[in-house]
Amino acid sequence: MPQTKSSHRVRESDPLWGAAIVSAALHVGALAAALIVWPSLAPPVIQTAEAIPVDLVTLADETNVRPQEAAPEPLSEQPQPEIAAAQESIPEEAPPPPPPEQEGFVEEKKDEPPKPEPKKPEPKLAMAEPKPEKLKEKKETRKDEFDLDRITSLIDKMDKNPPAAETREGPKPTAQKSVRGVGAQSAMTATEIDALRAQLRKCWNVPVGAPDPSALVFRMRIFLNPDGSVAAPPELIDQGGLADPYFRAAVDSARRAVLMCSPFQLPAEKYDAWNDITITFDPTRMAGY
Amino acid sequence: MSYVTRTLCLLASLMVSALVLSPTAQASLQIKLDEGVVQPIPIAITDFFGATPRDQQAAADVAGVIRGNLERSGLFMPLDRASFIEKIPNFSTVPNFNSWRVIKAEGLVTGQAMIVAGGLLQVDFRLWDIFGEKQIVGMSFKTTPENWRRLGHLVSDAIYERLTGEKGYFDSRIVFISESGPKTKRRYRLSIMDQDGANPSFLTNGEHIVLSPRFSPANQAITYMSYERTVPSVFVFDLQTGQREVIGQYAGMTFAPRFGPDGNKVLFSYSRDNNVDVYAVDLRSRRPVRLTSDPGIDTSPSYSPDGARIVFNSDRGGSPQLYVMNADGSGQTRISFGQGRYTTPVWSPRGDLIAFTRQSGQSFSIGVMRPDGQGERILTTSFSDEGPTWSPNGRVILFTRTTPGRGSAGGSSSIWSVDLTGRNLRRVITPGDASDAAWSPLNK
Repeated sequence: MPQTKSSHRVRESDPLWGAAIVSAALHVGALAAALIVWPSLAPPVIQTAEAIPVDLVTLADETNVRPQEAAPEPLSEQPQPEIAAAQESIPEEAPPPPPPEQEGFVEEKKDEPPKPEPKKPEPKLAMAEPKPEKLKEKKETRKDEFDLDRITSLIDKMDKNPPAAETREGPKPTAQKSVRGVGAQSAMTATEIDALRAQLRKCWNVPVGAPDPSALVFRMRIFLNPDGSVAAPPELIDQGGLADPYFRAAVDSARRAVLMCSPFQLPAEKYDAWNDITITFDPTRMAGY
Repeated sequence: MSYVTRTLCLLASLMVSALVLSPTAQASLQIKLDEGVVQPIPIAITDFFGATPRDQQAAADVAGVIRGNLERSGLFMPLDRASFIEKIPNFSTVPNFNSWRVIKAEGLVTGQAMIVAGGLLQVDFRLWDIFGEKQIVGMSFKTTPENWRRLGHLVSDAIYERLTGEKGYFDSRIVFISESGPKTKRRYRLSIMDQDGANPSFLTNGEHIVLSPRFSPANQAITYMSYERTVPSVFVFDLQTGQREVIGQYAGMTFAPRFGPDGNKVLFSYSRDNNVDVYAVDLRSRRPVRLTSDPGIDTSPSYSPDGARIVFNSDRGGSPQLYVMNADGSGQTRISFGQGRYTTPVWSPRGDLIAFTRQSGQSFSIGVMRPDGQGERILTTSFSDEGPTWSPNGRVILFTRTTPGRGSAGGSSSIWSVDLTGRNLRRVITPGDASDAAWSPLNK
């Protein structure tokens, strides 16, 4: 460690022995205090094998327990929609036709034909299928987590991913339940959150032109699978404005954004940090047109 | 590193770990998103179904009207039918949503047309949310077969309303001044057409100059100024009866008329004793009420949609500026303070904005501001952009654009449209030169 060496040199060439003595006294004092406070941590007892996480990122890589492999569960294909002709509900009763010269119009609601229930994966469902090379790629990304180029390439990669469900990449190797090592850094970094935001930004078609954009701010909670795909329909937290058609359209735009963005590109090893996300959609800044 | 230092580090790291592992770290990850893209919503509009060749023709025609409307609004992008993967066998089939997601459709419209009892043409349609995987609108309309375009407009309005949250405006008409002939002997005819340019017709024969037609927000009636009497006067034209009448006998010129929100009142300017002021007249009693009495020129009055206030322009401060007053003429307050001359204010049917013409230097612009004068935004600028009118939902503005070259040298007028966001500027197709458009309310 070059820093330690240079500090030694400084001390050797320092003529002020007094400072050295004070320093030594403080060291001894600290040692004594430590021995009194925590005698069990006397030199022989310290387990040097438990690495002290100075570089938290590296440590997390090394000390996180190897992901357990869950039984692979194939992504269920969307069941083919059934032809619903039989169940098609005909408009119940047509009101009498209006006289032609009045340009009358009859408006009826069409009932929705029964729709097949698509099988949705459970939240946090583990879908393991080891892909060693993918894992390695992820690790490298984490080591250079402030490398802007990598973030950019991450975003670019996202672009190439078709949003369709059946074209999703195979599930990434992850644990059913991740177990942290000592000092594991499992929270999302600001850069990682920015990268997630950048993905959402590209998917969100902001509703502009409404009379009062400040009434169109709401939170939506989403649950993600370990492969970054949306696990359940997004939940609208703030439902107060739903009677307002502008609000409803804005919520729809947010819902489409989330589903279009799925699967999200996220650091697989931090699944616990991002499996549950609350997004505040706020169109006011964009409402200036 | 000494073991003491290690000990201290360990203590520190344990504390940090405790923080990281605390319950708050397990809560939902909070993200704020205040930016996105603004682009037309990709929508797939399939060919509607029809059982007989006649039905099939009607189905194709109606679907074509819908595609045209949604595309022109600038808020939708109807997808190329050649890109469709799934061929939906009939109107009752639930689409395979995946195959529509692949082509990036966010909405899907299916429909059918048929002749039903009484010889009426019926159109049924469904709007599918591709990502929500469900039907979000399903409706049925019918009318006489000749009226098939209106079916397309009604379906367009329903789709537009559900996906934007805004009322539709496609089932509406535009009245305008049709211009023809050389500049020295120009013919001005009051004309009307559907908002998409279909079904144009003339309402006057061009014998007299007609100007500034304005639609009633409540009825199928137009008010306009005509030179057919000795003094230019304001007329009201009932489109259903075809009846025209002057709104009153005035000694001086009356001009710049505009209906009130209920269609019973007309605001106008009256020039008397070298002074122009704003008046209101109730069409039932025909009794005019003077609302302004300033020595300046007060003109171009326009009611707020609730009828409580009026915006107008006045040069009382030295140059034309916008003022707002109560409907009885009290509380006159200037609201425009930008560079240039502000004229032809029009209160949005939505109530939130006032559109205006602004002349600054050598160019004319169309802009909007809030009724308190705040938030001014210029939407378009050219050699001459003037005379805004709002779509019935307060989302789109039509205006007149004139190219340079006055007099016999030419210089043509045309009607243009722009979204209130300033996007989607495009020319409205009219038969020949056209100016001074006014949008109708939604048809009834």
